Amino acid sequence: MLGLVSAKNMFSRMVRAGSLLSVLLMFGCSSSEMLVKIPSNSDGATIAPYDTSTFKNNIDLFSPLSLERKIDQLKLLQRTEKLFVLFDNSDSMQDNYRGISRYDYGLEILDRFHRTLPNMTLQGNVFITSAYINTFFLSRILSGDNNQDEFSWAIEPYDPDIMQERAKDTTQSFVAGDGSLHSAIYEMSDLIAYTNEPAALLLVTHWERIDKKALTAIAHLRQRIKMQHDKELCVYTIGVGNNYSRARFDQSDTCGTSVAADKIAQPRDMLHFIERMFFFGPADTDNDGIYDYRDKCPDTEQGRLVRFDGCKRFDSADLSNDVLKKPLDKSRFIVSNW
Amino acid sequence: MKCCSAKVNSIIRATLLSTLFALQANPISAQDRLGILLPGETQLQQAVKAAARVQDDPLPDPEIDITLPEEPELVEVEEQSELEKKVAETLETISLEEQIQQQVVQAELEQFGYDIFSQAPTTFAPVEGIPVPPDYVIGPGDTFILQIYGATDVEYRLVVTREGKLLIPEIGDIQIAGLTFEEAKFTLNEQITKLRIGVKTVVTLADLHTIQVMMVGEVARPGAYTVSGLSSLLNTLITTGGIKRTGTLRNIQVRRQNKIVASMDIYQVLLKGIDESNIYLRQGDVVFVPPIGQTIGVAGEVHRPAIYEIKTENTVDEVLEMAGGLLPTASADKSHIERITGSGLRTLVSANLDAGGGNIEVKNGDLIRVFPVLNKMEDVVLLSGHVLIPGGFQWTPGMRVSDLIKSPSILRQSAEYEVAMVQREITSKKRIEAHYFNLGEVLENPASKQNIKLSPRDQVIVFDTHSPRGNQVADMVRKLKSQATAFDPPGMFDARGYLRHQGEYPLEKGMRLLDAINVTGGVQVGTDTRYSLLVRKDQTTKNIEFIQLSLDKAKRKPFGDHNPVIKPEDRIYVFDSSIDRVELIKADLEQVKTQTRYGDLSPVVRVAGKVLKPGTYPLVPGMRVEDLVIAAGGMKEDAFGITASLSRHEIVDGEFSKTDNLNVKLQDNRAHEFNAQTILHPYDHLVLRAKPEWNDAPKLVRIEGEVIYPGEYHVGKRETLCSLVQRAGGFTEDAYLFGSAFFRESVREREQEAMDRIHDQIDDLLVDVHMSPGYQKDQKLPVNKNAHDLYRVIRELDRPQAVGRMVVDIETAVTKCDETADIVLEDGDRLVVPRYKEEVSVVGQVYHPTSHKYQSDRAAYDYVNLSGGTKEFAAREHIYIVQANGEVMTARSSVSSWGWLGSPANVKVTPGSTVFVPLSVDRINGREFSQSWVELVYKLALSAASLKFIFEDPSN
Repeated sequence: MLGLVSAKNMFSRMVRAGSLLSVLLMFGCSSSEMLVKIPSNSDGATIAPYDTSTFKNNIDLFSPLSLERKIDQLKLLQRTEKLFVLFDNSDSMQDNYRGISRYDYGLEILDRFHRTLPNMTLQGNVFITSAYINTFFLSRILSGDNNQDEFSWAIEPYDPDIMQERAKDTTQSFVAGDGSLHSAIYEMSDLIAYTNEPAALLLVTHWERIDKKALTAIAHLRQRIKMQHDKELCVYTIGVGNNYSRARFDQSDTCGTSVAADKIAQPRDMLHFIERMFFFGPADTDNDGIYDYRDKCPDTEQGRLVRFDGCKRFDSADLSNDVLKKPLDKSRFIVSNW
Repeated sequence: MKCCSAKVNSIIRATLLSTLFALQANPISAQDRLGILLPGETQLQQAVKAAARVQDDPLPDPEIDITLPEEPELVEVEEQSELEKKVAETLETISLEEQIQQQVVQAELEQFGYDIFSQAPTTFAPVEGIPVPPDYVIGPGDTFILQIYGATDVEYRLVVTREGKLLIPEIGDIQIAGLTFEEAKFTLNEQITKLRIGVKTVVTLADLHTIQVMMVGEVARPGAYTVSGLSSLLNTLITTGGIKRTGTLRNIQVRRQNKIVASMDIYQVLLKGIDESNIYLRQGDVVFVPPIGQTIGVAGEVHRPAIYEIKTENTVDEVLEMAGGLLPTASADKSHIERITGSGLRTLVSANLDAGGGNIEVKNGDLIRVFPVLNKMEDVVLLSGHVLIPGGFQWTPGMRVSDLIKSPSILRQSAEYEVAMVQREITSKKRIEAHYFNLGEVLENPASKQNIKLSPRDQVIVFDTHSPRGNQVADMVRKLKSQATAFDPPGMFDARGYLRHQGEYPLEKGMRLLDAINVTGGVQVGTDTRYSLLVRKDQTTKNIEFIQLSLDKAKRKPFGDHNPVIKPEDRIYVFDSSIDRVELIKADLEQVKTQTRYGDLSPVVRVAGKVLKPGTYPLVPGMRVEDLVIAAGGMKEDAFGITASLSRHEIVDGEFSKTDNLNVKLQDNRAHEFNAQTILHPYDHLVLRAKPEWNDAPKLVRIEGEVIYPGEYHVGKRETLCSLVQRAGGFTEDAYLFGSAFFRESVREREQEAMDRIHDQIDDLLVDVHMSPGYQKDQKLPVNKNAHDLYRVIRELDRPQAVGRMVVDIETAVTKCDETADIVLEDGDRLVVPRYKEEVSVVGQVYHPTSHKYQSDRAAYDYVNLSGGTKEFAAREHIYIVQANGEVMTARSSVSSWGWLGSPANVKVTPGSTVFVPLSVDRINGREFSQSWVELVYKLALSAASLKFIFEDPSN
């Protein structure tokens, strides 16, 4: 009996190991220094020589960390409920970057982003900048009708798997603009301005595509959101093609950040990026400045000094006048007349 | 009847010596009396000193009266503090072992009585010139003087023969030896009167006979001595060197013909003056001193602390009587006997003299210690500090402060009314504590609660407003610290920062923050009432924590969180806008960092940029961005109040930290945004930037000369020369735009820097020249003539001052007003527009330096020639033209064609130019180093020449 069970276990382990191997084969194991490991083409997988010197720095398999646990533990608050992704699939994205095209690179990062997204209420959609076979042109739909309710089609529950497919498969994608970044942004601005919930715009593009026109477009969009809803649009950029952030959207007084794809390629960093993007610090219900997850006294009265554990710093007994009267006549005190 | 003057003399001496002995012993015992248990070393030193004193100076000044200690008085503050210090010292802990050790030391005690032998006479010469005592026994060798008068008148000097007879001429022999002097006198008178009728006889003794005695036993110098026949036992003992310390004083035996004829007790003489056994020695007597008997030491509060030999005395009382009895300062109930037990150990037997302790039997080797009363006064209160009559006052039950300070008249000028302190001794716990009260309130309204009750031995300290308060409470703070235990931390607090009197203060239970600040002189004008810090020490871990308090809130809610009850060892920081608060709290902040362990982050946050006091601050629980800004004293006026950036170290995935840059919107209060309410994390770094294009210093430029409205103008950020001229109303008709000079401060600074550098180089060069060896090797300090010349030149040059002229095409700039030609103005710019002048100056090495009318057909050399031509030392090939606009050109490098045969070209000049003919450097210095200073000379000359035109008096 026992032997049978163990044999069974062994078998299942082998199966699992086999699947692991196949995944390994699929993703490949190149010895280059790049942080993101992406197969050079979709069907061919190569096995790179095992190199310990670079092994430490490379996590070839992307296994997303769970953000749900952290959200639960630290009681993180969701700050963004709408997400619009603009995936740049223009010609300039076809350039080679580190052996593969920027397009594949961007797609992989977007995939990792989607796989890391925690389970939460999120709405939005993914758009691409240009399509080879026209399907849905956002502009066409938008220009046809001024009824704002028409936008509701573009705001759907954000399912990462579907969205990833949508970015990947141009036949299914929603296309915004005429291929340039700024035209896409301009077209999306109606849609984004239509929502009045905190929204985030995620651009996945090549740094050099962010030109003066794109900057203006973003500035216009921000202004519009500000004027219409007195809200702020957070613009996040994942840049493909350089280790360092080259985005010019970030200003000290705006919301959103830009990162290079390589910087968030690892689970830890991706997790952090997503956390920053969608969540706002741990909750503090009693507003005593101590986060709920470490607040041992979760209902401190307003205005009291607290300890690091969230409980009152000074006993109530210390505060009452009467108690002090007993040992010594304390009404002698508080005589300062400044 | 057995009395004679010699004996009296010896007794006087003995008593004197004993008194002296007592005096010598006293300095040593003084410390016992004071009850101070000095550390062993000090005691040893004192003993050595005392010993030295005894040896070197056996007769100390008898005027010193130290037998009675000073009456403890509470008159002067200083005395009181001294007294209290002593008390404090006695309170200091000392282990039992040590204490016994201290008490065992008895080297300081002298054996009683032996001092009478300390001064041995140098000779054995018999005592002369003293009356012979009547009981003196005549013996062979005595010389009689017989004076017989009446019928015959004769005088004989006769010596008693060995047979004991006196051979008197014409009378015969008379047996006389063995008789006393009185008897001899009688016998002689009788015999002579019997044999010779009608004469009377006067008999006196001239020379006395000598006797031989043996001194044996515990004497200093045993042996046979020949002494005067008139010697008494004590006398002989003294003259022969006395008794060793091992010999007895109580039982000195005189043996005569194998019988003890006398046994003497010197104590009887020394203590009572009874000398009945002090007999006269006779021929052949043997003086025997047996070894010393049982001894008892007496130390402490007695009149004569010493080691006594006992004979019949066997109780403590009897011994104490020998020691002269107790001093008034003795504490009779606190005496004890230090005894050597049968097992060879020391032990203590307490002897309460008030309760039968005096009847305790003493044993050999005992040391009786009598302790002093404590220098403490009961039922007094002390008034000290800033009062006219400091000192002790009687305490009565129910006494209050107002009974002690009845009116302000006893206070001195500028006494502190807000607060005064009472130092109280808790007798039951042997601790002191502080109480504060409002003096002004007490004086104004004695019924107020401020008028606290006084206890015996309270010390009321009145502060004053100006002098440092720390000194007045330092003593008490020190005591508080020394009385602290692990469970009972010192009741004191430390107040620092912007306070009138910083320092450590005793703490009264229940005191709050504002009370504590009041004690230090109150909240000062200018205090930052929004940010104060309380550093509290955890009494179990000794870790400290910061508590951020607001004096404003404390004032508003005196029983609220912001006016907490101060706990022992709290530290209070109060700030103002000028004090360096970051530096002040640095040490405590460091401690907070060091006490942080793995798993936690040090609660510190930093703020930089446009806040009053950028730096590191403690992160208090629940601290928000706005709290940090408040901590740093608030934002400066030029701070950009809308956003700030917050750098945060985020620990992701357990151990890896990432730096996040968060944009904090200070004026935003929407939820889920980073704003002033954002909770800070450890090591957060907040940076407040300046307002964009904040212009705190006005930009002032000056325009002078030929403009309509010359003067100073305030210009905007990007204002240009063109617009300035517009504002100045444009140029006058006489304005010579080509000759305008534009000066800029930044240019001047750069120029000056360059000039100084050249000057310094030349200085260095000079030194080199002076140091370089001369042409002849034997010349130790070569006289380099060139160097001297050069030096003179440079001395005359002095430091050149740069002017900072910028060559600007004013005409184009102003007329065209276009981007390429126009200049953006800077602060301190200056435009000088000269009047048009049709002249050209020639300066330098010409025979007649002067100005000439400008004529368009004249060129540079024409003007030089007009000035009489170049001098001998002129550098013709280096002639410069300084154009009116400041441009400098050499004649050579100009666009004009070269003259034939290589002579310098003749350049055209503009009106207002200066032609400068320099000195040929080669003429004054042939050496190669000339090059660098030539540059300087040129520069100087050029700057002078270029400005000549501009600053010329326009009236000319």
